[in-house]
Amino acid sequence: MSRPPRQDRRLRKVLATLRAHGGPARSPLYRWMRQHHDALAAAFAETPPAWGPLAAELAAVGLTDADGKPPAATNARQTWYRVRRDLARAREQPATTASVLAPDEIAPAVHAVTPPTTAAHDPAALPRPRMALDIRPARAATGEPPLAAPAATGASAPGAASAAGAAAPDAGVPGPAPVAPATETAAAQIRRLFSTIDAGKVPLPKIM
Amino acid sequence: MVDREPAMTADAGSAPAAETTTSAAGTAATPLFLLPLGRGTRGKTWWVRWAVDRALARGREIVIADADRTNATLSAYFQGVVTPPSADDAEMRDWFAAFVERQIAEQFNALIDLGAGDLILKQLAREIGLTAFLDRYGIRPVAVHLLGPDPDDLAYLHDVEQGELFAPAATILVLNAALVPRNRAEKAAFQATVLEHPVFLKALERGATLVWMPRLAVAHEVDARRIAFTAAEDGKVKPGQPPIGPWNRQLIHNWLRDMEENFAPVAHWLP
Repeated sequence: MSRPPRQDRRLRKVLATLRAHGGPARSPLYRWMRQHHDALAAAFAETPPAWGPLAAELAAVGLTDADGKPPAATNARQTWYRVRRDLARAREQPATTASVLAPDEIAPAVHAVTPPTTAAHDPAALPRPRMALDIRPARAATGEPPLAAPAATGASAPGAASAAGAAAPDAGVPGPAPVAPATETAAAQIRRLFSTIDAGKVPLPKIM
Repeated sequence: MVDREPAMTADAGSAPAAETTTSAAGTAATPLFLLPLGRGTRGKTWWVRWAVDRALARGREIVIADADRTNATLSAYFQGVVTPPSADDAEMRDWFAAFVERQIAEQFNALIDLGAGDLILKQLAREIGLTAFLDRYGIRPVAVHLLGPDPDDLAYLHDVEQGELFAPAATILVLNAALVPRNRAEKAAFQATVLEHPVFLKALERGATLVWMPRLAVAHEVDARRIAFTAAEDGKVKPGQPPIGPWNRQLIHNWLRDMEENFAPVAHWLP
């Protein structure tokens, strides 16, 4: 059995310096999500995360972002994304390590030939980068503060569902359990459609 | 790198996340790429307004892209709507690619409203194999076909289903009751024209899910004020607008309730 190659002396020094003076550490939220990745992934698979209330709960249990602040919804969602990305990369590491190329390699052990002109270093000659988009989550365009709504009473009054939805996500989701599409034939779906249509009609009186 | 990130800032160089996500079949937490489809005036924008309003009422984030080159109205209802820089074909293609790459990098839920009959989707879907591409990067594509009781409404469904141009596992066929003439019975209107059509049945048989979208008799109350359905339900109008009376608010409330019930079978495909 062969012994592992000895580590390069210069690499050892660089790694020691990195350990001593490394950049900022991962946030407590990131570390916690990574530690509990599998449980969280299973839970999110069952219930899509509502990041607003979830971020509030994460803050309530003492988890913070890299600045030590309570995480906002966007921050929590993006941290979860990074955890998934990093874990996936870590799990694929053996496969990807072998394909790491040196800066001047175009394939393992195949070195690039210096181009005859300086075109490769001319920014104008390179493909344009992707269009920069101002992407942000949508918000209701309410304009000025809306008028106060008339007080509503009763669970089925207008406003009850949306108010419940705002206070407790998914609380207003009613009735029937989701139907798995694969389990319903075309004929069964059309029957379901007809019963939905018929449910909205006033029936004729029945002769007793 | 520190796991701190500001709100979704432009970053054309974000690394793709091919290796980051779970399978394409996806979990409920998989980011959604919702694409309402259908010819003009079939209710695509109407449905988008409901779906976004529903998501916001639940505290969920969603990015809206309004690429309707003939009638971009979503900005009247929502802030933060992303639009292409121009209606030019080449710019539309670049914009669409940039948008999808940002979704892959940042894993947000997205809803893209393309213009009725816009060929750009068909071209891009064929060019890149959109469904498989999104699946590969952990985004769940959801096709939402808005259909009225006219056989011509099936043309777009036929086009995108043929050769699986854009035929994801998550496909919703929405029959829009508002498109049935007042003097016709809803069931009869759809039965002969759509429900028995081979294109429609084939989509159902491959796994598409059928949903009935009821008519909102007082749609004009919401449209005229350009407010969200939940705001209308709550009686919240913009300054200077006449209030919505309790009768019509109740009708809006009942419609939202019926929508929720009818879309329950596909709720896991909604943002």
